[in-house]
Amino acid sequence: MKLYLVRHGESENNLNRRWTGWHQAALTEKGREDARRAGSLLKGIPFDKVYSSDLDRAVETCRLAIGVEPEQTPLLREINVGKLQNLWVPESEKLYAEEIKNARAGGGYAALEGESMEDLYDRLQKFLDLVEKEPYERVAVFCHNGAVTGMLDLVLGVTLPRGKATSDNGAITVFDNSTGHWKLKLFNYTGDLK
Amino acid sequence: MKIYLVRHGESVANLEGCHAGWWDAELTEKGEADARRAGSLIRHLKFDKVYSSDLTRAMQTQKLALPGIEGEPAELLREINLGALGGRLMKDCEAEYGAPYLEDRETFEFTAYGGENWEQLRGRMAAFLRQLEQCNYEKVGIFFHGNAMQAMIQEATGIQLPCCANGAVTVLEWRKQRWRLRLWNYTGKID
Repeated sequence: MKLYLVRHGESENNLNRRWTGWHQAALTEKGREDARRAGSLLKGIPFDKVYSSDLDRAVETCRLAIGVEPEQTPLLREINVGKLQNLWVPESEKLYAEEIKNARAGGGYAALEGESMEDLYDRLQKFLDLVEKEPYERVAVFCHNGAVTGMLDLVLGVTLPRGKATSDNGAITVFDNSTGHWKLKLFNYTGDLK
Repeated sequence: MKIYLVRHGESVANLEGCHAGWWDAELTEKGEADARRAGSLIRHLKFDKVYSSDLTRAMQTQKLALPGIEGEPAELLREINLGALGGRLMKDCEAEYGAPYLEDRETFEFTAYGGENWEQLRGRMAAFLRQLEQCNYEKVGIFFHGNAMQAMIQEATGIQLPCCANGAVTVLEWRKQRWRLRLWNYTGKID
């Protein structure tokens, strides 16, 4: 089985440098273009199943990209960033300098009343366990940077420092378990190289 | 600065299940096609500089991918040195050296055979990256090898990824004094 993970298109919060997490941020015009571009890259792939995070920006990206109504699940949500939610990044760095430093090093957001990395890994693992039982060959998964990099951590068996490998808006990352365990096949593809 | 890392096309050693390392394997016919496909993915980019490992399979790949561009051969970019294992079938090595060999292969520890270990390979990649960080290039093409690329990605980002496909393109970006992984294992199609 192959999982094609797609990060949502640019959101208002991405554009305005605000933390998002579980906040419902709408796609920008560029975000809708990101989604359509992702769709053009996925064109012709016969998906057996389409999942999306139940946050609006992921669902909207899915609809614009492939025109299919996804099965929505909270398991694929972005990591909950707690008190940082919807804060302007430069402002948050004054208020919560230590906590943010720790989160960026891979420590999660439990100290800010959000999720720990373990919380995120637990629900992503639940998603993998659930999808592995199905007879699908190709599964599209519309989600978030935290879900893409969290799954990368799960597959590599380490917690990577945040920011060393970030998914771009509308980028495609592929995992494959045909050898019996999940392997990364492609990371952060956004179309023609620039 | 972005650096576009390309693994050489399929070599005779890849095809036959042979160790290569510094053993100078040539490309197969499929390897030549891999190289041309890699070229089609990056040919439109304006490279300020192109480097290639000085081993034949990397140089051949560079010339087929970017005809008309003379890549600078760099010894630092060579694959891990496998010493006496170079050019030998993996299954013959298994039969001759047994379990210790399998462990050495797993841990990239080839000093007992007159080759390198992982730290030495990583040291060469570190030396190459430190040189590059001093340059004012915007786009650099780098043609080299599977394990050497793994070591370079690890040195740059701390991320340990598997070996990529022959002829696949990976992009690292140097910005604000640090490296980030921007793309990994792109072969021009997702199916």
